[in-house]
Amino acid sequence: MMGKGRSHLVRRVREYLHHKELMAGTIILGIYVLIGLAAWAYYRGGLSYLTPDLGVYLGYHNPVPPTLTLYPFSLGSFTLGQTGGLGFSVAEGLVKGTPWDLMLFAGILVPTTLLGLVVGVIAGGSGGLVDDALMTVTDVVLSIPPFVVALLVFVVILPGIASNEIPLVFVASMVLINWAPYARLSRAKAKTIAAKPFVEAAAAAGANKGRILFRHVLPNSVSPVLSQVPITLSNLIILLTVIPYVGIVTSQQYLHILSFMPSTYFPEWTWILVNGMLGWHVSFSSNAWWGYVIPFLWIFVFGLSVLLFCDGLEDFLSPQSGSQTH
Amino acid sequence: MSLSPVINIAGSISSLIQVMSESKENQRGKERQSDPFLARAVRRLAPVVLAILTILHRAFVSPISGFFSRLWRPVGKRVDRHRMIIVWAVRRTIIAVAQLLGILTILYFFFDVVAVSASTTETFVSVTTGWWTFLSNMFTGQWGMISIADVVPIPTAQYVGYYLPYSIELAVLALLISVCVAYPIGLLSGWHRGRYLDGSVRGYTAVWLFFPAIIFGFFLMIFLYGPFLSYTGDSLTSLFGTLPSIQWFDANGGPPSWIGQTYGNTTPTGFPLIDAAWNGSWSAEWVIFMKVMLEAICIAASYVALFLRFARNATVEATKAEYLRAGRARGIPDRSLLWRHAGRRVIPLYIFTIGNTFGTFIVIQSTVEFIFDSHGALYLLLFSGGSSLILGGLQSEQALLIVIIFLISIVIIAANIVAEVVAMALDPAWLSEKEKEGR
Repeated sequence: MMGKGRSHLVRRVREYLHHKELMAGTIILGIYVLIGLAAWAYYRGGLSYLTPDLGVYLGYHNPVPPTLTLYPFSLGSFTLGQTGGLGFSVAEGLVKGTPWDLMLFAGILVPTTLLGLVVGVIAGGSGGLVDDALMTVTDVVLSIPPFVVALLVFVVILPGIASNEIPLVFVASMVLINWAPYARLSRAKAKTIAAKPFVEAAAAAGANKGRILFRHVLPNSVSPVLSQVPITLSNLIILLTVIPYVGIVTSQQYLHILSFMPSTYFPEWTWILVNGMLGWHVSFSSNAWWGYVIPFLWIFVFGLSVLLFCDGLEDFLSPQSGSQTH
Repeated sequence: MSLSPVINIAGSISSLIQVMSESKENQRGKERQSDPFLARAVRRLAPVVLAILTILHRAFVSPISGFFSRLWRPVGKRVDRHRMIIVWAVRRTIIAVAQLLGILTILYFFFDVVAVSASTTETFVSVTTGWWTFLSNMFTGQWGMISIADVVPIPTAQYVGYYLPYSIELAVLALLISVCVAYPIGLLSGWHRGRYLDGSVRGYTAVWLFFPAIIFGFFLMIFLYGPFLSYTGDSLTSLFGTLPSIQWFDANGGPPSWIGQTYGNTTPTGFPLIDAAWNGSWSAEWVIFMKVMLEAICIAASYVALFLRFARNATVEATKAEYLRAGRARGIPDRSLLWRHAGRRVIPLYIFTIGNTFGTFIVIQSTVEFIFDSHGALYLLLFSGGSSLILGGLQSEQALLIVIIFLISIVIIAANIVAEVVAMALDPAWLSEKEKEGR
């Protein structure tokens, strides 16, 4: 028995290593995680604050362009906030932001997926009144556009709470807004799984309802849920870009309340992106392209790696995983 | 045998009717006596005219009448399906009212219970005077007065009315572009599964997921719209976001009378594209059209990716249907199988998908309207939201936010219901699926 299990594991690992999509996603995501860990180890105390670059204050009209020579290597720097604000390096901001953003996205996506999965599996696996009740709740949550609720969260809830509690409240509200599509997807899958013979066999062998749901139905219902993860991530990135942009343009103020962050000089990818965009918005002439192109590419590659990873994992976990044909 | 090449169809039809109304013998006798040439011509031309009429009918009339007859009297068990669709629509409408009440209650909860610092003012939507008053005010259109940018307060409904036509105009254009692009591409990629086009569609949907409309719009603005603005003399922060600005008209002798001075609304219809043409201001029409098209393309680029992501699997399923294989075995050419048979089968699926993704469409449009500084109602959503972000904002802007969210919710829910009912009427299999599903 032991040998058989081991050979199965070896075969699965080999399949994983030969799965192009999955490996590409894993490698790029791994690089991001390594950058995050390195930033955490290197900056330690200074990780939550953007230090002024070059020790000077930059205006919008004199941002420093990137130098792509070997030394000194730089991705350019521009001002955070309005003219005369704090100048900082793009590269440093992105690297410092990496651990925070990875924690943020993981902290939202993992609980969201789990919550939706559990609700969907309970609904699809048990059927009857439980199914009806849970799916009615899901339908009501689905009918409300998440973006609008998130806007309301930003407008009404976040201004009223202490700044160090903002990230936690933001993450919790995002989980509560986004779980419904996951429940829908996993319910459909769980319904087909619950009708399979091996579930009946487990019930005949004396397994109780909870065991059937969480040991037999749930592990087999994971794969369709993974296709929703990149969509939620995309919505999250759109939200984190739009809210600060809109807030700054309409109010002409640079406040941390416009993002989920605890302070204004907190390093965060989309905040850096929005500041780069607004540098252009203030005057057409100061076109500091490195202020928006580089943060955008940074976020874009991260998103694509998550997409590749999730699609690959979905393919890998589904029963006919050996074939990579689409 | 001299057939005139020029045929007066109306004359032929009238004489045809005349001829048909008389009995055959009479007709023959009359023809021989009175005008044998005309009668002969009519007899010979009748099949030609009938063929032309048939072709015209097939081309222009029967698709429309067929659509409506299928809509209201689906084939098969007619009465049953008819009744089932109506029952379904009524049930969905009742659920929709419940959803709307739920959304309004959430709004009430957010603005009354959570935002405790909000002070009461009689002029705005009275959130603070109680749940029931709030609900009845919202549904009866008593949205209070609004005063933004230090001008004389006007009713909120009127204010929103100034901004609404632009959004409708833009949404119609963007949806048209999206449908014209997404329908053939989605169908072809589902048909040629795993081939080059399918692969590029998958790549496009993947890339566009992390290339949001706000960033794409921003790049478009840098490369196209900035130079365009400096050419027309408009500015990004002007009140006339849509229209040529006051400065633009100053060069031609001051702003015209058809643009409202305070709110930038146009007369008589309110739709800038129509009004500029109505008033014969073709240079303004050109500027407005360019801007609307740019925005519509920006929206469509994002929406098509989203739409294809949802519609691709449905298309693949539709193109795997048994009857298509049977048709191929009988020798029907692939092209007609694709465009006539599969093409018709996916229409209800696509309509359903549009209804399902309409909420996201509105979000995309609002971000695009904001980044292009448009004169639209969805611009007001983000504008009022952004203004309310700072220290709870002004009462006036919060009230505007509530009203806009209320209107958006109505539109999204209505789009959902309409799309579902139309899809069901076109494809009764949907209905039985829903019945099986039990919801």
